[in-house]
Amino acid sequence: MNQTILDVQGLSKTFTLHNQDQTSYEVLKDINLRVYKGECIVLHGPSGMGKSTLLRCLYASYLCDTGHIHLYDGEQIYDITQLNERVLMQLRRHKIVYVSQFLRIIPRVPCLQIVMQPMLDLGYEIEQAEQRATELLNRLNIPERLWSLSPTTFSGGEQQRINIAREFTVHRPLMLLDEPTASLDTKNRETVVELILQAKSNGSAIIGIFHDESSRKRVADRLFDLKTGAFYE
Amino acid sequence: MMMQTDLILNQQPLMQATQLTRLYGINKGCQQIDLELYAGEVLGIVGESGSGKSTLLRCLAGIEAIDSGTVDYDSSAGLKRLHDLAESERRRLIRQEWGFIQQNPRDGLHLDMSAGANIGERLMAQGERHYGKIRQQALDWMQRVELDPKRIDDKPKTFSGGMQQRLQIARNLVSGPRLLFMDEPTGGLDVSVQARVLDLIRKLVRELNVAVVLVTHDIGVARILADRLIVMRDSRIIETGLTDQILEDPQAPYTQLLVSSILRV
Repeated sequence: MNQTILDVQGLSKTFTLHNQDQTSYEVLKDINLRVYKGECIVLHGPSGMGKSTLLRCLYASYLCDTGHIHLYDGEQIYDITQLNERVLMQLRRHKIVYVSQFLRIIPRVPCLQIVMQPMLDLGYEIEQAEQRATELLNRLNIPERLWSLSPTTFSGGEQQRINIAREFTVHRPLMLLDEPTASLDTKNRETVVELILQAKSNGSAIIGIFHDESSRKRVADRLFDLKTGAFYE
Repeated sequence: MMMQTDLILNQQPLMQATQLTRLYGINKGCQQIDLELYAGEVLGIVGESGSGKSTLLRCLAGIEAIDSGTVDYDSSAGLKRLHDLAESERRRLIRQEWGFIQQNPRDGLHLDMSAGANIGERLMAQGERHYGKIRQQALDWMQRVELDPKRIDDKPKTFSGGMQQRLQIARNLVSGPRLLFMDEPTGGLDVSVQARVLDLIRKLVRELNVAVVLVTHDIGVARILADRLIVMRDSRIIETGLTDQILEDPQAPYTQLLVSSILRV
């Protein structure tokens, strides 16, 4: 029996620009999708179809107009569209992660510290966090001489890999991946694919956007077409 | 690597304001404010000058009288209704459980007392009498805020603005407060110094798990420090939400204007 992790029902999202003649545009309309434990769904469709918008709605960075987003956590069911900020903060810490291809840099915080932070926030021992962070930085080919530096001046690819290292340190039941393999070379792309496959086998449900076909084929269990609302195996 | 954690959701707020109102004129000040603050979180209050955010902060910190409404604080000695407290009790809270970081460090420091004495004053107010211990703590805190411990006997009037602000932070944190109020903590600093002070605040707030109410007109500062935001305009709250939600998908016309005016470099 497949265990549901996320169940999206009738989700719609329209943006209204109050200061630009009240222009409004509908990006998502009546989205329905269900994701099971240990599977990866890849969002499909041309640019502008609302793939990123959907991920952001699921993470509650965007507010939905209608619909429900049910997150199943054992006995508990949370409706992300109805939760207060405080519960959302807890869910983001423990249950849901959003991985973008950009690292939000805070001046002066060194690379290793950035990668360790999610584990420290969850109460892991420093040694444990450091061991895991080190392992991931090595796997993602971030040279050790960079670990004590703030990534402010690092290349886009390095920053992206640090961000991925950071978000893969701990297990979360739901992972939202916004083009995690974009602009990586073949070797690093392969590592990211392996990390995703590992997260799947640990039981994470994954919804992602992947523009390169080879990664998509390796990680995807199903494709979800945003235009038609249909799934493809 | 799995960690089973129950979500702590039925915790009491550390501070709760209900229909808090303090007006100086029509829509000047703050009115009908409802908010909750929980242990360990950073709540940002943003809005333009004159929107009432500093008035609200001062009401929450018990510095300013209120016209109506209530502010409840879950103190170490039980729940207190702030504006009903006797002056002595209110002072005890301010001294022992809270900190207040002013925009202008010169308002929050004794400029003619040594740096060490500025830090140690709070400890003495809490009953610490051992001079050696006070001095040791002052030295530790100077290091934590990246001030040269050699300058412990110098007066802060000889410090730069950034150093003074870091000293003010040390002075407020040395006593282990549960709640910290900040009014534009990086507002008076050069951009080059801002990042250092910001990072320091962010780091210490996490390490000490202290709750913060932060007033700022600088969206960049709010983005780095705040978990949640309250947007104020003309004395009222017009929007609340998670920081990234407010900044990425603002709903109110004014918030959209505020967010779209940020210069992106």
